[in-house]
Amino acid sequence: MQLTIDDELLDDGRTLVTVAGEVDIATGPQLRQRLLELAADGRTRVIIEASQVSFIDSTGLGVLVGALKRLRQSGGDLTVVSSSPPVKKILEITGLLDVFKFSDSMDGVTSP
Amino acid sequence: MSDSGRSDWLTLTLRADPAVVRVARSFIGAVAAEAGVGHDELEDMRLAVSEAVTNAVRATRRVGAEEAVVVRCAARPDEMVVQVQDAAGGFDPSVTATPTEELPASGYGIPVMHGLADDVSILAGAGGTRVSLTFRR
Repeated sequence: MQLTIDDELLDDGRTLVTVAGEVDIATGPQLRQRLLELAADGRTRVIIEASQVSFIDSTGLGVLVGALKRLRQSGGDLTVVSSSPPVKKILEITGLLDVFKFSDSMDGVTSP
Repeated sequence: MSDSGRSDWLTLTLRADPAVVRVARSFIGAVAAEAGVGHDELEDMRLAVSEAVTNAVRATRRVGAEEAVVVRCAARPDEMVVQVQDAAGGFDPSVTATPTEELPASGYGIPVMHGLADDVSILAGAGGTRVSLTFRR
């Protein structure tokens, strides 16, 4: 499995981007492009659900960091949700876990 | 690295293309699984190798070189050693996430390798760069 990306506009106006597969130098550009397109549509409050991401390295992390910076600069924000180890691992090892709004599950991230 | 000639090396030669990075991960994952490395350690190895091979592919493409990226792995009773060699003319291993930018979007590869491997050595010369990652068992 390489990478699949789906997006959904939530009732509260935020955009849920569900990412599955591997995020690296080969697939990272796809994710960056999709996030840029969403931001260009004014969808700047974004939740990335990455529980089905089986692998991510620092190139994939760079895509998330770039998105976080762009979204914040445009008054939006980015939340990262992942119940699986790879995303949390790369955030922890680079010391960026606290930089992101990170959650292990969607509970509490979306309005009931 | 005088021990490159040891007979316990498995070698994978790859073209410098982004698509091969996952092939390198699969290779290391297979060698580690065959050697009985546990799941968490295996995932650490795959991540560290992904960083090293990504750097090698980027460096090779940056200088427009067509030389291959070579990944070697040796599974030994006391350690797993992985070497990633490119022929791109060397890079400056001191280039990592710089404090000049508040939240840099790149430069995390080498810190990740240091965070995962027990030993990281980077030899950069005119002929290219060799990254050696040692994971003790």
